[in-house]
Amino acid sequence: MSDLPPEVLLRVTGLQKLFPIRKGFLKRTVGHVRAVDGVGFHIDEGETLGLVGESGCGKTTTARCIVRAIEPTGGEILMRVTGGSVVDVGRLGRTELRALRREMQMIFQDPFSSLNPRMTLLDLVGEPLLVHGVKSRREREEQVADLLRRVGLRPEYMRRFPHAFSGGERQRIGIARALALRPRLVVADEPVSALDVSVQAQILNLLQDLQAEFHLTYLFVAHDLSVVRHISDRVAVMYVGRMVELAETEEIFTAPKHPYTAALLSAVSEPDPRVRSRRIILEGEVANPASPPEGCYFHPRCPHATEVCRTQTPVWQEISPAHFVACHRASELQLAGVE
Amino acid sequence: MAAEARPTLLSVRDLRTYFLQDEGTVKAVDGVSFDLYPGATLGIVGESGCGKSVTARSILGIVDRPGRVVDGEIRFRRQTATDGDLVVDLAKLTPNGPEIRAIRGAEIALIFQEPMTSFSPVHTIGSQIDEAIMLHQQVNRRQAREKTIEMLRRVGVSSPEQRVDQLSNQLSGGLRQRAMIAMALSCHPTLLIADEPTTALDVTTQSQILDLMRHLQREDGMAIMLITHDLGVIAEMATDVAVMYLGRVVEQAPVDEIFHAPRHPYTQALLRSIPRMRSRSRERLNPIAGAVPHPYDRPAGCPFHPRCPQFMAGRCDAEEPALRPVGDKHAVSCFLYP
Amino acid sequence: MAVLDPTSAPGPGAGAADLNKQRIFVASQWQLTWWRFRKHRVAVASACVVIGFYLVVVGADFLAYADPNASEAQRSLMPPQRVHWFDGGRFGPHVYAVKGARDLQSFKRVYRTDPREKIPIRFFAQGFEYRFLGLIPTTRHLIGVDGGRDAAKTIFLLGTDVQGRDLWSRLMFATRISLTIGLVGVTMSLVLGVVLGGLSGFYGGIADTLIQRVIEILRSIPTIPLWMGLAAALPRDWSILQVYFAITIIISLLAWTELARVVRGRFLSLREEDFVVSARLVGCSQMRTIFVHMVPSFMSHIIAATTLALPAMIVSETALSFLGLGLRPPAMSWGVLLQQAQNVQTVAISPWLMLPAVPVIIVVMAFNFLGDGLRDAADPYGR
Repeated sequence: MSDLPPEVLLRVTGLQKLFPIRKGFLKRTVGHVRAVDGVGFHIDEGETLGLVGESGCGKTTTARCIVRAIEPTGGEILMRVTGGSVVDVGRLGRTELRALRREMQMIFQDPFSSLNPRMTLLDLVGEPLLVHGVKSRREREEQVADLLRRVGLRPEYMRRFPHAFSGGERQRIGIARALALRPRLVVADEPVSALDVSVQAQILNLLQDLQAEFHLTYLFVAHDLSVVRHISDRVAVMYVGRMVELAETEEIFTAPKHPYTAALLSAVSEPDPRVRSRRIILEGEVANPASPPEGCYFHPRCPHATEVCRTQTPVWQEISPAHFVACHRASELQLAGVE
Repeated sequence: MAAEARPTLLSVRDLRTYFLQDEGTVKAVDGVSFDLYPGATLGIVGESGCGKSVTARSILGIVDRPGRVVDGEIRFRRQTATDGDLVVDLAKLTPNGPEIRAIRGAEIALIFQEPMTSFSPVHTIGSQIDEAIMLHQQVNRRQAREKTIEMLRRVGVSSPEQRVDQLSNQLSGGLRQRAMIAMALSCHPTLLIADEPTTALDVTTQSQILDLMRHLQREDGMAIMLITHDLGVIAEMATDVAVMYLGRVVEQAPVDEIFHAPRHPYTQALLRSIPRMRSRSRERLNPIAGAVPHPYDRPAGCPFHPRCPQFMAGRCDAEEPALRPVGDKHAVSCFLYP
Repeated sequence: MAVLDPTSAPGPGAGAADLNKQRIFVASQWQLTWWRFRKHRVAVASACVVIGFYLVVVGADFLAYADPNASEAQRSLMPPQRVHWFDGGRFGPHVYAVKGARDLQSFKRVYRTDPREKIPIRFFAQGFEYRFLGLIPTTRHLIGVDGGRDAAKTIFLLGTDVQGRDLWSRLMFATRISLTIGLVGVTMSLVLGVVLGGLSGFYGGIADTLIQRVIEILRSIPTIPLWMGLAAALPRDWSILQVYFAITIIISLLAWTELARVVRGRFLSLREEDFVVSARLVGCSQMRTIFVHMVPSFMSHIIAATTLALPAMIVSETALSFLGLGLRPPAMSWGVLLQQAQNVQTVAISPWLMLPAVPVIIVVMAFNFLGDGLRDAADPYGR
């Protein structure tokens, strides 16, 4: 069991999640969908790491592996728990896993399917407390009232059911539920993607405020780059199960080192008609995680691909302090970011 | 609105589409007016419940039951081979009658958000596009197939000769959307209505599709009515913008003015509240207080007043403001501008 | 349904509308389902019909007026008697006396009504003895005639069968048996289906494969030959009650498969729902996840599926008994009654013997509409 530097809360090494493809009457495994294929990063305590990528890149699968909503196929997920010791999340048994639930929680994307419609707010936000030993109903009510207030809802709403609330309010309920056990790490899986634009800002502000108040660490999964830029300290970019770049927010947005990152940044439409960004239009389609190309997964679409890219998998290397990239040509390419 | 020298292609006046349900009447579209000129792109932007999709469906007469167009005019300029232009009021045509069906697909085309559900899963995309062509043009199947392949090539589908025989679920999201555009443009319409055409796509695919749409628009000279909630897409594609809230147009202006000189408090608040690529990291955003009210709970007077930072008691909650011009081609519906 | 955000400024026009909203906010899922169900008029009407039928089950003795087992050859195959509602202008329901005689040429019994002799129908009249609700001995029935024992002075609303037994009374008792067999059978299938389907869907893997293959094998067996085989295997000397339960068990041994598949499907889809994942992530035990989160989610579907399984049970029993493989006389069920209507002679000459088919049709239709209504009300996304 390796150790973690004191400021690091979570370190992931070589994370893998393979889904078997079964064919035939006897359901033999003919191959694997490489949803997450060797991902490694760390999150410092108190920071927000944004995880971006397009559909099929594996960001949601990575997030779910970290909280063990899905069982990872391989790799190491080290986390520092309260009390100072370091555990490997992927190898915990049932009882230890239950104890770990106090340390990390998840906020879901869809506010309409992530709350049990048959439970009142008191039940929903109080369930984590109930399951972890707070037997007294009055004590639970007090704590739930406090949590509801902190997320901007009135405590008397605890008698109501989720269907009485709008999308933004439901997301607040989900956040209150996630914070009930005072976790250290919160994995937010696209928490604002399903909300109206005018409500997104409310929830983003709330998440930032709560981070300061509760000393939270966030893993923020999103596909909307403007949201990620706003809320993250560092950003990681994934493509077809692999991480292609990881750096501090400002740096990755202004001076990306991976061609995919550059293309992604240039594709975002800025809400200003006077801005005409030079689009990098990618050819072709996103690679298939069930049968990815040889070498660098991105090479069929990369405008800078060379022979070595077609044959050899690029190595994840630190190209400048705290800036990681997996690209053969990272040091020689000059790529444009946003200003 | 100041009079325009060139004739409008589509002119909507005071459109009202209501859904009559047991629990009450939902006024999905409640007095919407705008003009669309040939070759221009009108962006209709708004959040959930603002009625933008229902507006598009009302124009084509495909509003789901129990919704109905109860009032208003939808004047559309048809192209005729014979004597000049002919302006018809789409709202007055027989529902699903021969005239509206002749217009649908041939003169006004519609592309949807979810390309997966717009294609039949059991027919090849080629056969569906062929069908669209044969419905409106006097060609036989072989000629239609040639046109289909040509159209697919135009929209950037590689190896169209093989793709025509594929089913829609064999294509990726981006390719399906291209195929849908091909189907929509197969009869060279004068107006293309695009309802959230890129919302379900990845951002890299989105930029490809938007690029394609602009390119085709330039080639064919058609007008586009682009409906979306994404202000970035609007900034990139639209020449004019209409901002909708709870079934009404609250502001309409050329795109530059909407983004750099917005007048309506909702437009201003919306622009202030979105995180931007170029904003400084970790800055606090300025959200709009409250949430979009439920359609059964329409506030009296101006629909935005419960959330408006410039709410004037006694005025804004009593009457509904009308859409009035405040400059050349710029109109606002707000009591701040009497 | 979304509402104004509490953090927003209070809007005008509040008041009475708010109270309604308040009720809806604190309404549980069951209440919402009930309100949705109430709006579905056909379903509500069907529910009343079904309740009506079960009232007949409870009060079968009360509603019958003649001993269902009392046979009298003299009254064999009497056609239904017409009820005349008004006697000389006043409300006085009565029937005409019927005299039977044997036609000497065809040797059939022929009945002639005698309009001069009027037999008035009495309400809450005296009749044969029975125990109301199995407890209270009484002789009161809903309708009857004076001197009910006299062959010439009786009433036969729906005629008689070959053995001269009143069809209406037999129908009342038959309803009791037919509708309760359905209940017992469905309860058994419910338990089997939920348990096995739940194991299958929740645990997956080997349990799932095994149970699914068993289900497929059972479902591929043609039902009527299977029933025939099993029913033929029943010892002939068993009492009616034993046959009753054996039939029930036989039918439910096959019926549980349908429910198990529904339950398994629901479990499989629920496992991936965000709120179930969320339950596991906050640390709920497996038991809690299943019983607090998953089972209530599909209870309404189970109820709807059960309501639709009942008519299948009823039809199964009717079919079996009709073929002579299920209940046998002297037991009474709709199937047994219909057994007498099997030949062309019956259909041609005494068609009233086919009347027991009518309640079968009505009940099956009512259950189907009711089940549809329940399913629509339970499904929050339906419209």
